[in-house]
Amino acid sequence: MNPNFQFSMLNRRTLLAVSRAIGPIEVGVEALDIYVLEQIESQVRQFPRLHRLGFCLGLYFIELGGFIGGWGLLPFSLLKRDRATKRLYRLLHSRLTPIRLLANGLRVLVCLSAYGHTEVERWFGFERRAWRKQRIATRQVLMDKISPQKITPVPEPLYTLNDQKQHELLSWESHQELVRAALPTLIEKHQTPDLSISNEIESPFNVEDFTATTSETHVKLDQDKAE
Amino acid sequence: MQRNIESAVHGEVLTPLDFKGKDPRLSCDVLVIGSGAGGATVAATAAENGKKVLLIEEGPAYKSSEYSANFSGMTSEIMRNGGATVILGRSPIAYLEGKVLGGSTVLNGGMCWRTPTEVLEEWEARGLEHLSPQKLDPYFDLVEEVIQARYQNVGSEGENNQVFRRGAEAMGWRLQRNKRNQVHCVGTNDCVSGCPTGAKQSTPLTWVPRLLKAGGQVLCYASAQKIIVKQQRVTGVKVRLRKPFGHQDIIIKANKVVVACGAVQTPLLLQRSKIFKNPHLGQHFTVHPNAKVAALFDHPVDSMKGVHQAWQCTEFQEDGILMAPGGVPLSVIAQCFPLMGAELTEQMRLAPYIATAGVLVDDSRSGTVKAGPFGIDLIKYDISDYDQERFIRGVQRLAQIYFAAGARKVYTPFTEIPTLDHPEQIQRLANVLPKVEHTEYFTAHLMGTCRMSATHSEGVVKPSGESWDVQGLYVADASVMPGTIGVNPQVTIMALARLIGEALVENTH
Repeated sequence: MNPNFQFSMLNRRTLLAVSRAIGPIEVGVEALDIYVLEQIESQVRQFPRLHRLGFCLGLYFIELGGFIGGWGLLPFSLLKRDRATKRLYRLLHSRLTPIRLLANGLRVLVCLSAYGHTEVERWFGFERRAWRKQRIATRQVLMDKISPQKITPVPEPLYTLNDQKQHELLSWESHQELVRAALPTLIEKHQTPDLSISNEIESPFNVEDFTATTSETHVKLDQDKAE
Repeated sequence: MQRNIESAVHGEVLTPLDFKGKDPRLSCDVLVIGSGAGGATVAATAAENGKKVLLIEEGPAYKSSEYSANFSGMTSEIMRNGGATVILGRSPIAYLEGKVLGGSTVLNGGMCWRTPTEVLEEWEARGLEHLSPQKLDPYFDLVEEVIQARYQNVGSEGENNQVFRRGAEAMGWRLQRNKRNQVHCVGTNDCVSGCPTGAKQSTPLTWVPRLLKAGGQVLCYASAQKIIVKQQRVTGVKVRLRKPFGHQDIIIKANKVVVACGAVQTPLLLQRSKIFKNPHLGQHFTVHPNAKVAALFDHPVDSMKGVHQAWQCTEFQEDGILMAPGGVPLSVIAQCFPLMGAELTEQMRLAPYIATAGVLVDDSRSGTVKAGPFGIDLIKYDISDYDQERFIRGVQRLAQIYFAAGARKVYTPFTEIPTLDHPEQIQRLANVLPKVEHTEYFTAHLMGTCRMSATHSEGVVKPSGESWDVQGLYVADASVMPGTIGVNPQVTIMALARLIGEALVENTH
């Protein structure tokens, strides 16, 4: 581990190109490639020295290896996105295990960062941060209101349908009801009654057309959403 | 209740900052290396029996509220090598190791299964009589009580679990509800990157508070470098105090040292210490390989909502095949598809409608863990052809479950046949027989590199957990398991660690 590690300029260029080739740039999140680069850099800082060295050499190979491997003369970072993606696919299906591992490792690292970005998650219908906030509030109410009276022995669940009406613990209505019921206690204890959290999944995707995969359909769906 | 426990823990955990500008001369009766399921349990057990215990942890200490929603950021912070850890072999197997107070109990799904009776009977038959079902039962009871192993709150499961349950019920297959170590889990589904609500009762909320209450101490950012042995008796450990305060090497003196760094790091530490040679050290490495399966439904599954795993299908457990749903974040769903760029974006538009699950196969073969030159860890495991056959059968059965629940498409872990669009295509898997090299695996259950044995010639540690070769050196983690167990190992590790902790205390008298 080296907390001060930074990629070289050439490695940074390659990684930015790799993140654009793998990541969801269609979502339109500003500077997603730079975000991915920073996330990967912080992960690579945790690698042992030799793994870090191997990773950086791998990036040099991706950047300049096209000439050696015979799959293209241009350095990777100068390729257009679709050509860069094609080159990575080629590496992903290489017969040589180390090359396959490198391409797959990059795919995993970029997916982990790019698809974990708040805006990207939201675009794909995963409002994870709002969901966490709501869950933390829900659990707080359960801990404050229910637990002291009802600590049952293991393995019995602590919360059953008898405790509340026949609604799901995961539903927004249930959360609101629980928080409202506990409002005086919450105000007294935490001063943070928050009923304003959105819990609706805004999928860019029409349930009726769930199998649609053409870009035309998605463009149309995006237009509908914008309207 | 929970807030009090957390503030108590974080008020008392030491960091290298506590020794800034001083020469720390630490000594204790029992030094425990690692704060996961094994280390925290053995440390609490020794402290509660009057021993002066110091528990050291390589990573930081986090409060539940400090686990952020930034998944890739958390993998850098709380996992070894930033989460990029791989076992090499015919096909690489990705795995995760916790590097945080609580070890891998902070990252696991919280499943609480007792060791199957037939496994314990087999261990007993190998001469480990103290591991018989009857003798271990009280330990399981205690562990389950301490870590609050209970069924999920009603209504907290979420659709990702429900489609799996409905499918298995439609097939008429045996389903078992998971017990999980949780108090009021409300289905945040962030088990893998640290439970932000504090519901999951990982060791910083269970065994570590018990250790502190009994007068034990915890030191974070402290990485064990070498076990020090004189005349075949352990005397201490060379420890490096780490980030973010710079490096400083110190010696901690101890009468007993318990190594509990997990099935990979424990043999590596012992091998690098060069204190004894034992042919079984680093051998018999089993991993419970897993393969991911996803399915597309025509209604929202919202796998983000609901508990990570509430059920397991145990219909084929006798064949060594376990199937279970596993809700994961969007960034992990994206890795289920061998796609990139625009194609992946198109695929991921369907993410809210995708359910995820896994097939676990009980190993028929074992791998090795070796400390190589220049600090390189050589971790090897080859999936056997027999296990691959079971993987294919397991994926076929999981596809049956999903189609029975109404799935429109099933995504397999095999690059030769990545999708199944119709139940009739399931048979194609058996015809094509996807190769190991063309399958993606991962694992979270690493076991058995310092196995417990009845005789010196068969293993690394005695039935008491003490090394056969060095007096006062104990191992108390998943590496002591005499064989693979076929279920999630958390409760087994804790029960064995409790037993080893008691033996350690007895040996001290």
